[in-house]
Amino acid sequence: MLSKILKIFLNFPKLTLGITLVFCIFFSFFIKNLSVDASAESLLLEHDKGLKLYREVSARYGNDNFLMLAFAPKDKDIFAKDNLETIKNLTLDLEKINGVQKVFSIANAPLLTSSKTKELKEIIQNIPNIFSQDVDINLAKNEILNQPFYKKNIISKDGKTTGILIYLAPDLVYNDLINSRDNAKNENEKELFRTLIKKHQESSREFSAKRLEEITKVVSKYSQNGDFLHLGGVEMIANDMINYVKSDLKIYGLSLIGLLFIALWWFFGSLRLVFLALGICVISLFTSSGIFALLGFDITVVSSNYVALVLIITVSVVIHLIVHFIENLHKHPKASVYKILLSTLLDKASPSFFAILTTVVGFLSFVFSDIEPIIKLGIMMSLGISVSLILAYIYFASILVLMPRLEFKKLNQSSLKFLSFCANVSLKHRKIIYGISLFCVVFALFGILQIKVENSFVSYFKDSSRIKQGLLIIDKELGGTMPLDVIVKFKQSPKQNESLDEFEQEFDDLAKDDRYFFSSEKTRIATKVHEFLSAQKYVGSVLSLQSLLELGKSINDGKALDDFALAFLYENLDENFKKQVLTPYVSVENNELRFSVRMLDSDPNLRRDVFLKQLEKDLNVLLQNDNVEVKISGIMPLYNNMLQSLFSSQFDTLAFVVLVIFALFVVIFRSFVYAFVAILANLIPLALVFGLMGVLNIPLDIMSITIAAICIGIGVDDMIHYIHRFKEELKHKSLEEAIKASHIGIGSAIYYTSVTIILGFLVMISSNFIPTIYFGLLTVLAMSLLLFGSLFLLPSFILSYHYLKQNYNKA
Amino acid sequence: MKKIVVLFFSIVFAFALNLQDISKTMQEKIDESLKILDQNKNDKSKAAEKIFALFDGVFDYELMAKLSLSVRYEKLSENEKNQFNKAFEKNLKKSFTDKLALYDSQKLKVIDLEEKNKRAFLKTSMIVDGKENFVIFKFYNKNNDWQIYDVDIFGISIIQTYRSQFKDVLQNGDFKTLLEKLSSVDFSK
Repeated sequence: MLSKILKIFLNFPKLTLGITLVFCIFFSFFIKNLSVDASAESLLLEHDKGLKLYREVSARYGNDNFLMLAFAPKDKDIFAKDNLETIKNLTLDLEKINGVQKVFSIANAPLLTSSKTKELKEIIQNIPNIFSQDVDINLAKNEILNQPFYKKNIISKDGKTTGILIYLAPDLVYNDLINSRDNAKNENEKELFRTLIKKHQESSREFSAKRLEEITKVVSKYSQNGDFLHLGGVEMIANDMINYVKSDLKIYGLSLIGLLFIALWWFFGSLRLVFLALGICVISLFTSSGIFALLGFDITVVSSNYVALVLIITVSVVIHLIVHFIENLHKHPKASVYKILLSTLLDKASPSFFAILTTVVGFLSFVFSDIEPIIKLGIMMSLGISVSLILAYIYFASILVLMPRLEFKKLNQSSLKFLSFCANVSLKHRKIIYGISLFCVVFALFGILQIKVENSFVSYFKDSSRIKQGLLIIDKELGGTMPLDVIVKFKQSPKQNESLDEFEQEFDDLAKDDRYFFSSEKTRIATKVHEFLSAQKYVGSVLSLQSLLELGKSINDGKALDDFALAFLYENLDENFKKQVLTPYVSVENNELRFSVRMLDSDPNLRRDVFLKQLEKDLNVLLQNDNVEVKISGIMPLYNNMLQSLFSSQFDTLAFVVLVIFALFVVIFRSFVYAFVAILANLIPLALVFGLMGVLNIPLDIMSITIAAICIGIGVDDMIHYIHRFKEELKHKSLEEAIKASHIGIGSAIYYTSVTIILGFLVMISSNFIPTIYFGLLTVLAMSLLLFGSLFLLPSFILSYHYLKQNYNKA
Repeated sequence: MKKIVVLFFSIVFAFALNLQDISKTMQEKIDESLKILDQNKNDKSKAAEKIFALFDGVFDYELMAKLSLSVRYEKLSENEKNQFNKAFEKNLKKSFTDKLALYDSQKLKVIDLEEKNKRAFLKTSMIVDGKENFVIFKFYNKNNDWQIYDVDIFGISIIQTYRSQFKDVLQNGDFKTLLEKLSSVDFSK
């Protein structure tokens, strides 16, 4: 059947080429619809209960989507007249931008204890700021530096850096659409909302980018005179990630093609072959990208690797074909190109198909991750490399058959020397190979046990990047970058059975009124939780009802506010002031308090999962007698949930991949032993990579967590090709000769593909995004070790197996 | 002896406040207390003392103490009840004295008397910075003598705020702690 199809390609090359090109161009046309999504939510677990809570909390207390602009004047005096003017003008300019809800800075911060003449009653009616007439600048400075709402929030401890909080208008349409999707009655309705959400996301991305551009423009306008001005915040992180992903896509694409050009030229020394291989790679990439766009896939931080992956895997398929083709040409100098091509394609059909199939299995295992971008990467890659395999066969067959027969130079001699060396070591020094392997296994187990999963936004970026500098300043001086919410919900008191008299009934009814929400019980709990949170390591700023209570104390001659004063304030406080200091931290309607925490994300000792679990446990112990429920929400726990879920599913995923590949190997090799040694020769190098990560304290993150499945998928290809070839050689050669011949024959292809893949992943080092750099380096390491696995360990295993079999037969 | 008892009851009835007299009597007492406040601007404690003397007969401190402690009150021994009543009255008066600052130079005017079930709410108004605020005296009928059991100041019930405070103290401490806190100057500490 395959032979018939291949003959059609070879007999009608122009027609095949024409039709395939039309298809490829058609799909490539849709590439322009591919969009990049790097929003904070794009990487979250869609079924995470925490995400629902996060959305509820955001809707209830106002979103925490803000940008923080750190401002440190060069003369280091924030309160100098000129600097205050600058902050005021910056605040005003930023407020004018469409999509900015409000801007909070020391220029418009309400001041309650800085008026020289005004009485408290007057102040509460018309709250002054630092620019108000009767405000004493020294008192104001003192208030701003010490007031719980301001210190370590909009002013650093040393008073030399100030933060300008730019609150971005919430995306109400998005929230509505998400709610409608969640409440949809059936799958059709859900799908409709999914489409609407996608459309809306595209337009809101444009809107956000434009808004950020305008904000950046204003910031750069004020950065002219040497003052330090840096922007930070979740949206800023997302925006910079989008830019990085876009630039990575271009860089990967172009530099990878350049590198592949050099590598192919070095291997084969033929421009025709180089252009043929590169042409197939580029067409495969364009076609699969078009298909992804048609399927409505976005490119995320995770899937931005697909460009490199598709190019690398396609080129490795083509290299195998070329190497075998050249080998056949030299072996059969008188045979026609047609016959050599047909024989090459047929010889390589089975190993290439299975190699791609095992890679697809590796990628498809991502489907179990429950994280959309990772699932999509799995689907994208499975589709992409399947397309690559088909296109490689079609173009390889139809183009080469049209070309005149050419003499290709013999394969690179230095690589042949290296391959002979590998074969000899396997033949003569298996004990050393096993000794090293055993050491690697022990080392790997030791390292793997220490492996950690972390998500630090600050460490996603290079030290030299603008965003990292801003994030570090905000982290160190202005109370932290990563928002975390602690929600304390008061449960209903158990109903008392005692029959109440009329008075009791009257007051019980009265107690339900909103104005009595602020009871001693609640303020005591607020104080307790606030103090507990503030005392935690890695916690920067904490804002809550307690901050208001402290403020109240400061305006009440140092005396704490009693229940009457609290109820009185709640009933009589200025609405605007209430919105600023009360609404974000208290939901009377939902009977709960919110503690808005900012975490010091840049602390290298912060172990997020341990911290969050301990925090929840400690809070439950702290509040065990208070009849409350504690919940932790925010971007930080959501990302942590996502990574933990990925990490915990890693074992299942890997076990699935290994089992499926093992089953495939049994089918391909028709031998349990071959299947076993092939898997083992693949797993040991991979385990070593993870062991090294553990020992070197490199945490797993959203990208590196996918390495295992990808490397198994790609790595087993070498095993398939090697064993396939070895079995062929063994038919008419001795064991030792078969090993040597396999090393020289398929070993060249394995060597070339591995070098190409290594070069390909090395490109990722040029990324601006640290996880991509780690991903690239770790994959390079994995691929190098896998090459050794294929050229030293696998032949050693095969030899040992055959010797054992021979001894057994003799016995 | 019988004569003494009759004399005692006649005195009590002579001070008893009838429902129809609440508005008038209270307005008189309020006017009088504002006058006292005016005359003792620099000594709020002295003013408070005189004002309490004026209102003492109208306030049912014992019931207020009982209501503030809610159902827990009945669980106290007689001795504890006495101790608590005294401490509560003292604290309430202290608290009123502190709050007198809020009514500085303001007029308190009786608006109306509303009857609700077995209660009578005397609504008085005060204009603060052009905004009308209300102080409501809540009366109940104690053997034909209408007495105050709660006061709503600008929408906030004094007794209700005491109730929530006491409830929390007793949830986390014992009666002794409550008495100590009640006797201390600053309750919330």
